Amino acid sequence: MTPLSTGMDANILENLGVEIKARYRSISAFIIARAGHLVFERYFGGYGPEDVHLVASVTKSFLSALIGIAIEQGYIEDVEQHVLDFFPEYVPGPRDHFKQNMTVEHLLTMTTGFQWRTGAHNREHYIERLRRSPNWVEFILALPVQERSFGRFQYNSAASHLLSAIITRSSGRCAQDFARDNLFAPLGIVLPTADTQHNFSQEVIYRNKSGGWPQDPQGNSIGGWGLVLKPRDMARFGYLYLNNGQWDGRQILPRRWIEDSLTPYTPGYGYLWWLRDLSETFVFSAVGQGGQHIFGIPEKDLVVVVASKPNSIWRDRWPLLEQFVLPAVKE
Amino acid sequence: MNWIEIEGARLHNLKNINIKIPKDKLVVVTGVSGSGKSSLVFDILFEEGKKQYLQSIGMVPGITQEDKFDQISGIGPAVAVQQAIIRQSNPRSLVGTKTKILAHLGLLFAHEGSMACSSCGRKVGRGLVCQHCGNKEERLEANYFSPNSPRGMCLQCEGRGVQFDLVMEKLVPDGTVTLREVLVNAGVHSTFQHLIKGRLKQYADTPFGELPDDARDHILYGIEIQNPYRRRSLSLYSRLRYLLSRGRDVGDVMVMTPCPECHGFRVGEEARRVTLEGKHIGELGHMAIDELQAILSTISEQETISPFAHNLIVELLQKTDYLIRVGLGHLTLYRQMPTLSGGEIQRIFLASHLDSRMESLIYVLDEPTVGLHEIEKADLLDQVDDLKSLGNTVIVVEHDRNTIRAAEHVIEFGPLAGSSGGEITYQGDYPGLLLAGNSITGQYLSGKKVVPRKKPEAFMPISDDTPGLTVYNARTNNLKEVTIKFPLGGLVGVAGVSGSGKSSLVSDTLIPLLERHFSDLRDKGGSESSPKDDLDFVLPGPVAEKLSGMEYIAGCSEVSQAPIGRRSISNPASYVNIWGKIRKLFSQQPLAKQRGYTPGHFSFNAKGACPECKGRGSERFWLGGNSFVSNLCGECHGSRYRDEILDVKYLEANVVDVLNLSVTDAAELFNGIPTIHGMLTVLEQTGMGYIALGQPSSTLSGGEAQRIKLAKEIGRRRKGRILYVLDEPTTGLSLYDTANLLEMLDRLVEGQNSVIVIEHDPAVLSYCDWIIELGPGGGNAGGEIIAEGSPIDLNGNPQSRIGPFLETG
Repeated sequence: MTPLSTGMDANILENLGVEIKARYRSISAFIIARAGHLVFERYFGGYGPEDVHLVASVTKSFLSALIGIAIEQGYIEDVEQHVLDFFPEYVPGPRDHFKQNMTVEHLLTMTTGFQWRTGAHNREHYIERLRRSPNWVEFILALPVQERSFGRFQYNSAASHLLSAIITRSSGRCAQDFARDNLFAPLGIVLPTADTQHNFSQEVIYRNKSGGWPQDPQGNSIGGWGLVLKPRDMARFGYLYLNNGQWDGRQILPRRWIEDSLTPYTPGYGYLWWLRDLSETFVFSAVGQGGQHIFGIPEKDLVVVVASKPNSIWRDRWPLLEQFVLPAVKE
Repeated sequence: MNWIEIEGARLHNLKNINIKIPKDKLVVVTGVSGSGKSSLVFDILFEEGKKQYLQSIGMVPGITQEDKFDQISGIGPAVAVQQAIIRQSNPRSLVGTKTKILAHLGLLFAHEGSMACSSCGRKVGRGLVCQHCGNKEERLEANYFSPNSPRGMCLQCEGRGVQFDLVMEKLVPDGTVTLREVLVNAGVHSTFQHLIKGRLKQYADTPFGELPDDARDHILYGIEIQNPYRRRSLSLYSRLRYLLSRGRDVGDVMVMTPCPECHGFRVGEEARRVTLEGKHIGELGHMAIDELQAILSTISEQETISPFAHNLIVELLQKTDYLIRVGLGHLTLYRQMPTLSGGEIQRIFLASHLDSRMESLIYVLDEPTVGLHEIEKADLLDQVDDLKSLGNTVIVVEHDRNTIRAAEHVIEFGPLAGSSGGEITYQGDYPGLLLAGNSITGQYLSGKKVVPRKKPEAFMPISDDTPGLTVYNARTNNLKEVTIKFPLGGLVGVAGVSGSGKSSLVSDTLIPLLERHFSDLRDKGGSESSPKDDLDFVLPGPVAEKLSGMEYIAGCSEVSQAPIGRRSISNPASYVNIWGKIRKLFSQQPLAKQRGYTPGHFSFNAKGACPECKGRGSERFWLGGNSFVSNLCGECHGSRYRDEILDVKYLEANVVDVLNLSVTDAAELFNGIPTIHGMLTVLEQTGMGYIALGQPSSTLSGGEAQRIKLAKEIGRRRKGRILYVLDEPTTGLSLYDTANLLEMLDRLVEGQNSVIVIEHDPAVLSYCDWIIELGPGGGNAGGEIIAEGSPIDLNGNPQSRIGPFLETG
């Protein structure tokens, strides 16, 4: 399939390749799929289609899908179910009013109000403390909920980790095993088995080489990051959302779940998906540190994948979408 | 060369003076407020020393516009300890952070602390592997030991060590209490009026226990407001916590308790697993500095410690040693800076300089004895002497007679303030000062002039029947179940060594209780801005059983040393409300009327502003790095006004001239305008005659701010029965100005008011009708009433420590 036959301007895409080589040196793969067909697939810096990438927080959007599946299969009642239902060992104190009212939806939308700090300029102090703790779930549940923040967006990888633990608790399988049966196998994504980690050095956290989805000391797949994927696998996942949850004629994810996931709950964020209007075109994206992206553009029937070398500083990838990919679409 | 020589100094009111200051000596510079001491010592000597030093190490300091002097020689690197820089308000600032001791301790724990296994809690060996369960531990970085670092703080309380809880059984004592009554009982009825008149109207008179869950949660904790940001509504919890965090008494419906997670130790579990001598850093934080020193000494004697740790401990011991020597051994590292007395803060800064051990510097100290008891001053002077003995020149700006007596060289500026000052009236040794006929300070010190003393018959007789305010069983900070009556209708002094509990009793107990009483009367709970959920607060709140006697007074006014305004457009004239009157006066001048000017035309931040610089008067240029240079605005040449506005004159003075006038000169100019003249006279009587009407409020010292507030209070001409509370009003006052201040206080009392002063100055205390003395020591060694009575009573009371210094008869 050539770009032309799927309605893309080959010259602009050629310029895109030039731009990446010149100004986006940490990008190792760039894929554009239109109407389910690969129209642009380039690898850079010696990477190829079989190389895997640490996709960091892109993992969160996969977890979102797993929650949708777990609800569909009845493991979780609905997004209104209380988080503490899954953790009966946690005994709420007199100040835990909000924690008792916290629902799965608060976790999905990053509105838990958990005391947490994150962000590029703030370094991940709290993740540092999390990785040193002997029981991650216990650590997270003990975090105070600040009433001023409960219901307000605050990006928080620990909240996603609770979702992973909810999968473990409700289905009896860690998120990786649950995903293998219900998401990865149908999509043709193969992941090596993971080890349970008891000591989290920074190396394990950020530079996982084993290939599997690492687990916390209690065997929960890490909810906030940790997946290692091939760029084409990322594109498949994006296409699943574009295709309303269907894959090869089979409904993998409820259509309704996808609609809910891609509806802003707070401005710009749905159920662990970033939502944005780019040149008046709706774009949803899974985003990971270092410049990892799965973009979905329903209006143009486009999935765009960017995979990058892990880096703590990177150039924003959105301009590539706005200045090259969208202009290359021929109506 | 053993002299610093300055020729032709003419900054501010200095009258082209030449001066030689001896080096390597203790030099005291004195003179009435506004006589030009600070202009010479801080604005010329210190600024020039700093500038020349910065230039010598290749930095570009700002270039000044002011024409300060002709020539200066013999100067060296200068260090100033100014009161303006040491005012403290950040509750996160602790004694341990300010002195850097906590940071050093953090390093020590990070390198030398023994670690416990994170899963079984047993101690791990040198290899950091747990013998019991095989867990491998990682050393923590130093910031894990700081309660102010996101890595170190206890996550439950964010490093504050305390938490707040609603006490439901107090809030809703029985099943019949309605929602409205709950709000009234909590003292927040007016704040929540919109709710019980609006959304929750139907439940206003429903018993609280019968409210549906969502209404109950709404009141107690707030609900999400459905806007894009999903903020929460105001709640009882956040409102009460806000009031408590502002030092207001909220009764017993909310309690502040140690954080259950860290038990008040402020740091996270990770840090608490690391110990030295069996103690974690939180335990050291709560220890008095003298105890801490003992522990550090023990550690330093261990043979196993690394050379790095040894060096750290040597530095730490030096710091603790200096703090103990300046009399601060009773403080803990976790003590919040804003809860310290002025004297304690001053000495912390002084200790940090003693600690540096540099020599050949010029130290400029601004009233180091402020806030010190007579018996503490001698210790401090020893420290100042140490600084000099290291080989430094120490120049002290001071009014205190002990300090002047200790000086090797005295310089007096005068004779009076503003344009009547700016000259050197005496220079030489102390005995010479006493003989100098034209020195006001000399005349006071030699007894030729005296600070006014009350005649015995002028003292207000005070007995058990005298009306008074009584605080019962106060336990705030270090107070030990203090029950004490403050007699009303006279001048009451509160004395005691620093840290003895004077401020805890008056500012942290009496005043908050009175404020609560009067705000309950008005039910004005909603008058403050809405809670910003800013959790930082000054610990702890007032703790006392009760207060009685409020019926004798109509109100309470605390005249504190807190700044009166940080904005550069605020100035003394605007603060005391005469600036508007002056502008109105200008707009009524014939030329102004002819041109149609309104009062707004005479404001540099409204219609009158120079269009080029928008009333700033200067433009700022960036030179690179941290350096800026200000250039006068080319259009208005710094006047901040449109040129044509300056055509309008009142008796030869335009509006810029007026802003530059001292209070004394302005009082003369506005002699014919009673409303303006009256206020200026009061300002002058509070010792502020030298201040320029337009001086930005942000540059005023704490003492100056306090006296301007006092003048404003007196100028308000209230109807009497007001209790005025002043914390160390003599800060920055010469003996001459102190005499004026006492007259002002007399006037307040004559107006049927009551005055309480927290004071160390024996001259002021001798003037009081009644003295309450706390002590005997500071911190845990204080907190008790050791004496009360008239100055004569205390003079004869062996328990009293201030008694011997009082002048009676």
